[in-house]
Amino acid sequence: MYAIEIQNMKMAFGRFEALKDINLQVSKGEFVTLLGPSGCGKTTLLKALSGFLTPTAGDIFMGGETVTALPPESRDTALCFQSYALFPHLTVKENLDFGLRQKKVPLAERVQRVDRVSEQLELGAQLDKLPNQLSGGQQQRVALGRALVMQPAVILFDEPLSNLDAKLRDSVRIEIRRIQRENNLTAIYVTHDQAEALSMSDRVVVLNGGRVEQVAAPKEIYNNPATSFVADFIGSANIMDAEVVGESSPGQWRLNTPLGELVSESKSRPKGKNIKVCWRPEEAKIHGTGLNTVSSPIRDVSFQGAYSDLFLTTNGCEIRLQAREFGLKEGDVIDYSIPPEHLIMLEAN
Amino acid sequence: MDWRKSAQVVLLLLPGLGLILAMIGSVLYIAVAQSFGYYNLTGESGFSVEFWESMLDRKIYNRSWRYSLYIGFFSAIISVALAYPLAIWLRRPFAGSDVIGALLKAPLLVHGLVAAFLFINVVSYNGIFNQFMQGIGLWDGPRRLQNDQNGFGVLILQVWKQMPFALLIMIGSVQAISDDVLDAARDLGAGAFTRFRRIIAPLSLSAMQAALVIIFMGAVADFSFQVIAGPTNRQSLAQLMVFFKENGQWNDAAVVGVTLMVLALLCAGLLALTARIIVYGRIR
Ligand SMILES: Nc1ncnc2c1ncn2[C@@H]1O[C@H](COP(=O)(O)OP(=O)(O)O)[C@@H](O)[C@H]1O
Ligand SMILES: [Mg+2]
Repeated sequence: MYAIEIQNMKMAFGRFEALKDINLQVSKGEFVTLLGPSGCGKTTLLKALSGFLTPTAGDIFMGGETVTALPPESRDTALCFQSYALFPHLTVKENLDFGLRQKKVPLAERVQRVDRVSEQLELGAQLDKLPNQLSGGQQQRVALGRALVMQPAVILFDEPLSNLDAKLRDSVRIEIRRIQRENNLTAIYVTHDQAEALSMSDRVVVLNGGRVEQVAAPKEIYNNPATSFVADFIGSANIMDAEVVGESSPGQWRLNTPLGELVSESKSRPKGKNIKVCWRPEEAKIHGTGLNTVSSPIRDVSFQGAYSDLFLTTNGCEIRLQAREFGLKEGDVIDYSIPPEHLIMLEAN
Repeated sequence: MDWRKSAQVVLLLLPGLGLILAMIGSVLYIAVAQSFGYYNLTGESGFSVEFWESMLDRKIYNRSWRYSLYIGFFSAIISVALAYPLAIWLRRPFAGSDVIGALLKAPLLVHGLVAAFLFINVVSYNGIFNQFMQGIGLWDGPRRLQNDQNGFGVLILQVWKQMPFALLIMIGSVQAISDDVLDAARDLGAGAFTRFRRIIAPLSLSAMQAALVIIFMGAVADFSFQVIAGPTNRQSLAQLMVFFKENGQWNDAAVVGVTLMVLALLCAGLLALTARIIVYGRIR
């Protein structure tokens, strides 16, 4: 039984389809991130899970029971708003206590749960303050605490860190993950920040234009993107068109590409005759030899500190490489090789 | 602020505020003085509590202030009670919400006297309301509705005129409450009434208090609706004051006038305070 199961869910606003046929299963205690560019439907999906939007089609199950028709106030979910949405006229303590009062939790337990959460989040000294007397980070923690104190079956986050500065973001990120693990909470976390998604999640759901592009663990998403959108959106990638020539030996696929004939190593078959392929700039071996070696002049060098970005144009194809060697300059002709296991075959063209 | 700054502020305010204070002050002074026997236009002047004494014993006076408080209180409460759901409904624009908003505010543009005449025409013994009720078979014969003993006619007119005003005052602060805050309350298990009681009401309390106080003050001192549509067996304080004045009883008129001012001020304050206590559950 899954903590959350979404079946063939669609969501339309008038003629516009914000979500197209979403299927997703989340296990209890799992931390799943919804990642995608702005406008891809992340908030819409979260609102469907929390009950603020009713799907146009499909079903949502939580703990094995359908919740599709339940209003937000009756769902065992708690949502952490991007804007925090603290009650401005209530003290921190009253904010934390609000939901427990609604759920008619006995007073003694309410006090105990508020105490515990405020201790976990180091809010003890702020309990009698109003939200506008708190810093951004403290407000964020109150919003988090207000959701945590409910001990919901599912906790939902809508870009909770986007209003914090970079330094605070890192510490709160770690804190959220720690509390989620400690309480074995099932969490859905929305972000448009790939670094956040990769570092926090058990699994990442990449959304694009209301469709799921890929669902996988962070490493898998990075190393084995399923589509060119995923490859491009997460990290940087060289994406090219390719024509499948044939299987030279089991799992070795010969491809015709703008860089010449290359070999890709893959257990699964290509998705068509004409496909897209990608590889990460850091996977290419500068001065490499042997299989998949390409020779090309350097068009541009950009120093990044730990490495340099090299920009090359090979047969009209823009290529980006990462070099740890800093002696290279514009106009130098270099050889680089792409290891076959890192040349990834994507969707059909 | 040092004394130079303070002096500067006082000097700057003096032309405007000074005039206002002088005018209000002199009116207040004359009224209070007259109620204690000074400035007697017909007999001899001098300090006396006889006007207060005799007035406090008069049935017409005691009925009058109770009636005025009744009209003031219910006009304010009903206007605000109707304005709230409308303000919440019109919180976010939707197709046609502009038109509805404009229609609701229309009474602000119609003079009260005109509305009052229209109203008594409609509810008169042979008016269209009576005809309608008989027409649909609910009533056997015409009923006497005009100048009803409970002052319902006045209340209807007051609410008709003042509800748009309450809406105007309150809609801004209801609109200022963010959707996320209301959604957060809902997400935490608050139903529609709890969201009103614990989020919307506290966050729009000041506007609600302002609406209550202003409407109460106006309705407590109502003259024109009362004269046209009010019950004939009791008078509002304003009506009573004018009645005494017409009879040349200036000191009695002053007693009623002072009563009206004091009651309006005290009860408006009480109303605002009660609203706060009900909403917050404490004085704070
Ligand atoms: N209530 C609505 N009415 C119409 N369109 C909406 C509504 N809510 C969201 N959308 C549209 O749906 C798409 C997805 O929105 P959203 O889920 O907020 O994206 P994001 O991934 O940035 O959170 C956007 O194109 C947005 O304009
Ligand atoms: Mg969003």
